[in-house]
Amino acid sequence: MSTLAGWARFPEDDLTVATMPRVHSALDREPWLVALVSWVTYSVLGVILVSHYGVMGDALARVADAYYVLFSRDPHLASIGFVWNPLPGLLAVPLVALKDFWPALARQGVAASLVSAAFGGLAVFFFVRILKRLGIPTGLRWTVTALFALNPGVVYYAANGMTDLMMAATMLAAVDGLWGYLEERYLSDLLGSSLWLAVGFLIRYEVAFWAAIVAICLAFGLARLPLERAPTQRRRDWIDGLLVFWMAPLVSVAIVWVFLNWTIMGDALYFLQSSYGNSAQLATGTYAYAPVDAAAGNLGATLTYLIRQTLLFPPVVPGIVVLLAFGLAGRRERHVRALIVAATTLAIPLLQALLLYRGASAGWLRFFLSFIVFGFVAIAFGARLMSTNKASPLIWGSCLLLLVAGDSATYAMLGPSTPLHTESPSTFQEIAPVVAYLDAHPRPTVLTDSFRSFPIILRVQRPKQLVISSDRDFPELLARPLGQVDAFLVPRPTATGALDAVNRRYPELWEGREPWAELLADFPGGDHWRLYAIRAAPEAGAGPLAPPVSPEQVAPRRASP
Amino acid sequence: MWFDLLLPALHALRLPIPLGGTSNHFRTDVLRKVGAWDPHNVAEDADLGIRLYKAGYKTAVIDATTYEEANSRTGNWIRQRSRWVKGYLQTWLVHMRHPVALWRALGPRGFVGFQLIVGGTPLTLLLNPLYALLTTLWYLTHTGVLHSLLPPWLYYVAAVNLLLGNLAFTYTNMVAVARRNLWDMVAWTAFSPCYWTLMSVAAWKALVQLITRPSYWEKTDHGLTSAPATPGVAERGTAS
Repeated sequence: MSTLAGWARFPEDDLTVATMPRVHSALDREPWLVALVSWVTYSVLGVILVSHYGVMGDALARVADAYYVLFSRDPHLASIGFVWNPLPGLLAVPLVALKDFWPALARQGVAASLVSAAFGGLAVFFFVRILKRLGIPTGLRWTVTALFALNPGVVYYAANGMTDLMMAATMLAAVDGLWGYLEERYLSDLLGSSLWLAVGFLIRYEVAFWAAIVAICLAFGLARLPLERAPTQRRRDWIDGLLVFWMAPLVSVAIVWVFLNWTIMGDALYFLQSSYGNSAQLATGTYAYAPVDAAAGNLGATLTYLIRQTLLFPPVVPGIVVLLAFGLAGRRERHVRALIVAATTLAIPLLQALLLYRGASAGWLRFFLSFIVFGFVAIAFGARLMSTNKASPLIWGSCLLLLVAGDSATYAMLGPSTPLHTESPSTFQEIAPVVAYLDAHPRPTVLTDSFRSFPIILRVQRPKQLVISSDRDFPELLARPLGQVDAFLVPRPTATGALDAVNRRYPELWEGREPWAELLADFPGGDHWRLYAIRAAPEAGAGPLAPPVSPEQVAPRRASP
Repeated sequence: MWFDLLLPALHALRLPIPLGGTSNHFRTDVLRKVGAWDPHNVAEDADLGIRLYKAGYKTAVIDATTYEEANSRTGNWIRQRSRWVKGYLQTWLVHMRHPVALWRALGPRGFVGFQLIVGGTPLTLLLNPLYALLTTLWYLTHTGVLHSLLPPWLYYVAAVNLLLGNLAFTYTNMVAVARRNLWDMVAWTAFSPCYWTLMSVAAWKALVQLITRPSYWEKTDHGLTSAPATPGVAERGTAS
């Protein structure tokens, strides 16, 4: 007997990492196949969606970020931007590089849809794995998977290039890994979970809040596990070590992000407080919506708003109630797993409630997408708990009915007559005259803030004709344009147009009250762009100094912290 | 990390394994055939590992643990590590006397592995403080001189190495202790960069000594813990 073996210090207790090789079965191919089919379907739908109905502003803005990295006048990686998390833009870079073969990748923003479709496939992959971990019989598993993969909210956000489902996919992946570790104690599962957590942070900041909530749940649940063979100190070390292990990649990535913000933008918290960031945009009142305004500072209205959002997928309500009741009723691993799902479903909506109460969120419907994704997990989990060994037809019948009803509710809520707060895709009609003008006048060098003009930059024939805000000499050229820049392109300084760097530097310019500028062209409609030629040097000290201008200030970061 | 992750990885990649000295098992006839080890080399185990690979023998890692006392005093520790680094440098220099012959003997895969493990380890340790100094200088002065020093793409690579490389290795250490169920030590692995700094100190000491006293054996003191080593207090490491 090797008394000194590594595990001798802790005789086989429930905390020991599993070392047996895993047994693989032919069924392991199932998640891959389903995910592949979903991925291809979402990609095709994405292309159709974008070409026929227009593209979501935020999705296009991320494609534009990727486009500046390669094709702007000053190509460099930092053009990817620092307000938004970088991964969606970075993933679009290699796709945008292929624009000569398929122009729609950049011009229509198809690249964003292809990225979100890949994460849609990933969401389905981990959803199937979670169902398998629950031990749901094959036929039922396929039906539930189909209802999930075809849920209108899942399909729409997988296809439209937004990041909401991408974030949910990484959360599913992280939950799957945590479940796996709790079930079998394979460290590789825990490792996968923590790495997906870090990927999630590179997609959306909300993931950090979610991770904190789940960590609290885990600490609570693990402390209650009946581990007779593990001494108290050992159990405490395990919980501490496990949480550190799980959160370390996320925390590291967050520190790197803050470090890069500090190094490149000169402000460690630039991504939070940039003049283009969320709070700045909300302050312009562009996204005013009565129920959201009512929620600010009013707890009752906030909670009403939160509950109303469950209309997106009403079955989430019974699902959460069952899981919470079950999770708190017992102390074993499966109860911890129930708590994790309950916390995951509620964390981001709770964060939104917090932000709404503080008047810091636009409260878009898509922020509540976890009601759909984890509502499915909750219902499947709940049904599995209630049907004992054999699949009970009554329970699974009502479960499927609930899910079908949920899908229909999602469909209704995403439609044009929804009572909830949604955004609509935009087309390129309003900027077409600006693009046509610039293409007809290749000579002048035009300075513009990509914050609002990103669709124009994406569509002009010669992007290098434009000095844009991610160019490193932008602040200098904005301050001293004479002889270096021929014209300024500015949007009407109302709504988010007021955050445009040119408008902030020269607030009177758009109205035509700057003597050194001459109106060359006027493009009414939409942002009401105007092109002013620089005829003399702007007076020294005119207007406030522009704050550091960043790479990405592309589109409105429609809420979310 | 070394025994649980790195050596098994080298084994799986069929790369030469620089043996660790704690617990090795040989067939005597093979040992005689390869001419045993270089008595002038202070990391004779690393040298022997390369010799065996050259002769076409396989080194395998078996699933058993040999415990030894942790070297817990800084000065003592630096002396021990400096001997290892000096030995790696010696091994690299000796085998690289005839690079073409070495290439033929090790094969392309083995040659690359040899460069990375035996050459790369001391090189990284020696270069780390210089790079850290350059980076610090840039942050303090933002001087443009550094921009003109190297091509821009190299800075992207360097930034990835600095940020992701260090994090990945730190996290690998974390994985290694968790695999051993040493959950109480997980958080401490975050201090890996401090450990690497001490390694660099040892590496520079080794480089100087390689020239001044090439075959001098820096003796490591043992018996630092007075009480008999209890299971679990002991850590893995390579022998002195």
